[in-house]
Amino acid sequence: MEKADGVPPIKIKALNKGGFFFKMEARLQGGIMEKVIAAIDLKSFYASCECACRHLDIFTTPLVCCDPYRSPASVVMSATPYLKKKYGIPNVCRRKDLPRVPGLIFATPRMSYYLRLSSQVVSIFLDYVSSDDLHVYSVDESFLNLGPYLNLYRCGPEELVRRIQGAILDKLGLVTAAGIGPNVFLAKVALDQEGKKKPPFIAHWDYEDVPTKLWPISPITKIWGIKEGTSSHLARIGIRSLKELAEADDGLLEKEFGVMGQQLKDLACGRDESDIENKYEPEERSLCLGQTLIRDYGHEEALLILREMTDDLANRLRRAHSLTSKIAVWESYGGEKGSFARQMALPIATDDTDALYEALKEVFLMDKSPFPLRGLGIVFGRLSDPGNEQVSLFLPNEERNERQDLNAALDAITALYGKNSVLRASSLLKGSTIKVRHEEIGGHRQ
Amino acid sequence: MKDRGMMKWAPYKSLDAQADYLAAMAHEKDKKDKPLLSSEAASEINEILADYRGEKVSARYFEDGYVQERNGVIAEVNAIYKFIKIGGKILSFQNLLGLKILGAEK
Repeated sequence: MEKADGVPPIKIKALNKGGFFFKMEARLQGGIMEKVIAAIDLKSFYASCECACRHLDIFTTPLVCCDPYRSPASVVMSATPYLKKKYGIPNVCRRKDLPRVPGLIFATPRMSYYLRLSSQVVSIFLDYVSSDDLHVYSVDESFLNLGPYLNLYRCGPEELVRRIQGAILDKLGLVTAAGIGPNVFLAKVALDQEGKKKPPFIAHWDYEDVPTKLWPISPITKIWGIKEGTSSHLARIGIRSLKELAEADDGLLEKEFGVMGQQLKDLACGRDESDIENKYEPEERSLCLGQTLIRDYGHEEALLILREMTDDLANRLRRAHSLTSKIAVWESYGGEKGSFARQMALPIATDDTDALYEALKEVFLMDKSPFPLRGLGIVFGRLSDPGNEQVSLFLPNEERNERQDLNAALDAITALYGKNSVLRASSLLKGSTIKVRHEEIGGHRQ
Repeated sequence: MKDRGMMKWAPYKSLDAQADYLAAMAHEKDKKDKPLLSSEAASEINEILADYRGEKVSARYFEDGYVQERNGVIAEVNAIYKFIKIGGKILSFQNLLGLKILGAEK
């Protein structure tokens, strides 16, 4: 690493590790920084969390995260590396597809516990790097730019990653795998192709490894960023390997893939200019909510579910300080019976629960199918800022204000006392699912 | 073509709840110890309270790991239970870090 001319190393005691001074010290000591990215992944995360709390070893324990009291078709969310290696169980499958395994432990999924552990892992990352140099990619995978910190910790990237891995294992009992590279893409591929596979669960790739380690990967869909459709398209133009992609003509790739052509070539060359510090905040352009129904619902009974989902999504819409001017409904009938989806533009943007329900109901009733429902979803699209709200000519101001106050009061109660603290009386009906849904995260138990 | 940068690595949004847990973790992690109050600052607060004539004030106080600020008129100074009340908020003397007169209340 090169030292910046004229920048003396300044010692500032790292009192606030995640804060400005910590970062400044690291940057000033590091001088001109090269990028060293680590991709760190929690091995079989949900199953590992369950092993950690039972003080069991993920490499010798047969454990799956799956509710044994739900139907045989219920999803196995995660399996230990032991089961994957010895029985070939994929990380995600269905309970009925599990082989007979002596002493198999079924751990009922509990999402809030997993998310709490995941945030504690992120907290450990922040003990080592500033939030500017951390990108949380998913619940079990993050990228860290270690470049600015190597001088501070006086060690190489492998040693720093080992320290972080050790801290996560000591404090939380979770095993991690890591890939290190000169950019996010190569770190990710090093992780997926080598780091995850065997102890010590660290792989370090550099640009010179591209011809020997990246190009031989086959099929090319094994690498991040190349899906089945892209792979077939590449095959149609005679490109079947990453080496061929790296050497392909720019013009041909642009003609076939448009602006994505260059990105594909960059990946095959091991190039990625992503800078973790330049955070990308996607604009939320729509909000959606859906649920799979556990039994057949007639259309009239499903209106109750529609009402409950509208209440929840309208609450999320207001929490996002947004209005919607486009709504959509989708319904599925289960099996091969097909589905229904329709959308509608609203004359004025709104966040009012009742107005949204009336519009959704109108769309819902357009479905004249005789089949009962097994799935229902709603979408609020074309989101806008409440500052641009138009005044309705049809609703008197007083009524509008009353509705706004009511919605605000209900939102405040649920924010303070939980989602089940205030519900419609219809939640007592047999067909209601709202209370159970509120006790789940992502469709799984909390 | 310009590299799409971190747009390529947009995080999975499959679990909205993860963002809430991360925010709660960051909130906990950013908490600081209560700053020490110098004897000069303590006597300055004492003087302002002793001479208080209903002006608008700005109060700096420590609460749950964070330094907060509140502006308003002091509605009550309770010497027995050792607190002041500004805009319905009770601030105990031991959490007060500074008090500044902003001016006469209109």
